[in-house]
Amino acid sequence: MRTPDGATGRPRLLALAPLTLLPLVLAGCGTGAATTARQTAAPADPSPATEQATERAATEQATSTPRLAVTHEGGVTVLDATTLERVGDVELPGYLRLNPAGDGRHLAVSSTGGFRLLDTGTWGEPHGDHDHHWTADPALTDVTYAATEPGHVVVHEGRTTFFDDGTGTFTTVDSADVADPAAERLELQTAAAHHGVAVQLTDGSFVVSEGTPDARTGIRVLDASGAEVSRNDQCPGVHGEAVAVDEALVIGCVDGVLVHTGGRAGTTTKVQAPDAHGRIGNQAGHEESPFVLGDYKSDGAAAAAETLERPTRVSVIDTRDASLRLVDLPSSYTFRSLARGEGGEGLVLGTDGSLHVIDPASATVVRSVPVVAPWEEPEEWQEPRPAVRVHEGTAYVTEPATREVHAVDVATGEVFATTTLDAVPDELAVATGEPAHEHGHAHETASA
Amino acid sequence: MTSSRTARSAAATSVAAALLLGACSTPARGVTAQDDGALDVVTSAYPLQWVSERVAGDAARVSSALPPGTDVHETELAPAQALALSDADVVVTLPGLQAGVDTALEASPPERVVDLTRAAAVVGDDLHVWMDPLRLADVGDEVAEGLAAADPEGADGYRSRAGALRDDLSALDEQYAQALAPCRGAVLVTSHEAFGYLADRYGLEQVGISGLDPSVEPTPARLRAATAAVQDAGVRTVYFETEATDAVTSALASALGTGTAVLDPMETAPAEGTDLLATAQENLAALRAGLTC
Repeated sequence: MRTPDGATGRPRLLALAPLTLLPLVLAGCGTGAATTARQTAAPADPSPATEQATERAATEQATSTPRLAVTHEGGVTVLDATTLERVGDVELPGYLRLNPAGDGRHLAVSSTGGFRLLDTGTWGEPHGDHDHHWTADPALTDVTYAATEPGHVVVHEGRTTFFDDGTGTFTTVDSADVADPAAERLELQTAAAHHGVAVQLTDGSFVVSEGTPDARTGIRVLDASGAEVSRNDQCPGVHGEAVAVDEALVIGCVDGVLVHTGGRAGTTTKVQAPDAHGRIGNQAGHEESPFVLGDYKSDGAAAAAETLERPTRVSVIDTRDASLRLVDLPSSYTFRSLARGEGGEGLVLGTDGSLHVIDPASATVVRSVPVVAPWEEPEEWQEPRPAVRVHEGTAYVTEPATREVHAVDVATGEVFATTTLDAVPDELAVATGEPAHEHGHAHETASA
Repeated sequence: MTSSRTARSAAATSVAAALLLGACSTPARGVTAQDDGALDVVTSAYPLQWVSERVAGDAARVSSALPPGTDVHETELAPAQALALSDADVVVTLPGLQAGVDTALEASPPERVVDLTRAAAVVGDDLHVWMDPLRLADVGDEVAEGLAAADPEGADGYRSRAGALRDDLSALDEQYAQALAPCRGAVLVTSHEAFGYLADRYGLEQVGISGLDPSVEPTPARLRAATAAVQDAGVRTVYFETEATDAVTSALASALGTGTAVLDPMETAPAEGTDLLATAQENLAALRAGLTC
């Protein structure tokens, strides 16, 4: 079972931890080269999702039409992200996790048997020098990435990687083709099953966590075929990743972070936390910022007793010099609290109900915007608590106590839209409605 | 990559169409084909259909690969549509405009294809060549040559009708040139960057703003981005493809100080009883009224 930290959703960005550059690897102990398999999904499916989607009436839109998906007990509700009007519901049993699948259209729903793609019904298609945009009703597709225990999904520069905690296998696919059952899927295997994460970098190499169900220990850098190039074993409890500018990757550890830069032949550096127990397990990066925002838990006794720590500090990791600073907040926060603004500012949704805006360069809180009523973190990580996701300068914030979802203009703090759902909102994910470009500029909203 | 996916499924569709064709024991004809000896011309988008109809007159039957009103960017062809294409005597097309048509043509080539890329003097990725009347006149000549090659007996008629089309389009061009002469250098702000050829021909500067929908009030962030894009351009109007709602118009008025107006990219067939020339006139009126001249 995953800890709250294990529940982190959005692997969009990764950051790396500190400093070491480990020489390349030791092969040897059976953890050497990962096994590789290339496969395509069985083409036998008579009703591939792409065709189902086309059968639903598509309407051309004047612009990209981002949508917001919200999990609740019994399924997923899809909202228009501009108006917060409900555009559809999908029924699904069980506890659901949601992650962007990478094509701006589909979300990966973690459920029994794997990651199943939900078509949010908004997408863009490149048309010469500009894009065209379409919407249709949301629908669950039949496209699944099989996993015995679906874990992290990472989207980075046009590649999406799904990690199966139950087997230690991860599957990578072109993000734009993620919903195409015929798309080529690259499958690699880590040495042992563990709650892990993997990212493919633009040079084709992978950074992947290393561990067993009992102990997660560090990362390995693999070449495009899955052969180990280097490793770092100084990251106990490795969890979570975020990407900063220049593909600097930050990986969380229970005593700091690892920062990996330079791709395949790059270096991995350990950044030691200032406390003996200084756990960073959830990170939020921004692909144009050198800084990664992380959580920070320092109560070793609470961790040992497996009781809940309510942290009031966050970490800011500077990937340029692998340094780490802590920022005091006026309140505690949870694993669903971290996000980055459009300009790279750090955002933390506090239990005081405010969105705290952090300037990562100075590691200070620059303003706090009240959004929801004060709340207390529940003991169980699956219990809904306010969550935040950001798209194009708008922060979407859930308020389980009132079943509301709010849209907040980060720059001004204005809550410009609020909707009330029939069910208690839990996890949030955004489908941008923009086509997956090779070197995505998902944050761009205007161009001359 | 999205497009490669759709291209692939379109390919599957046309393969299916080809199989279907192969299975027919009679000489298969497209859905619109009749056995009266007249040329069967299929086009891939409304502006090409309009030009082809003008050039064909009564000497050939012109149809669109897609049903009237279908958006030019629809990516999938139904099997019957792919069949009509492969079975046409002449297909008039602008590659890149319609991925489904491109794929179908490749999978199952018809007898004769008139590729308009060169005649239309396509620049870069922008395929909206019909926004420039003189380019469209050149397209008419090219279509006439294509039809003449397929039907030499009708050659004189095709060329003469292409000449008449050129006269109409030259007159339209003169009207545009005169009306827009005082506007030279004006910025044309549009939510759909389909007007580059028009802007180039008449000395305007096209600025595309993404993120604005004429029917949905934008988020504060999108409004700021639009403001940044048009700032200092001195524009009075944001042009949409369709009429903006009051909420959008007033949001733009307060944030940008602009009004809104409709500029039709002429990609789809207009209402019954009107045509491309009439739409071009409406566009000209909207430009005169909305540009800072």
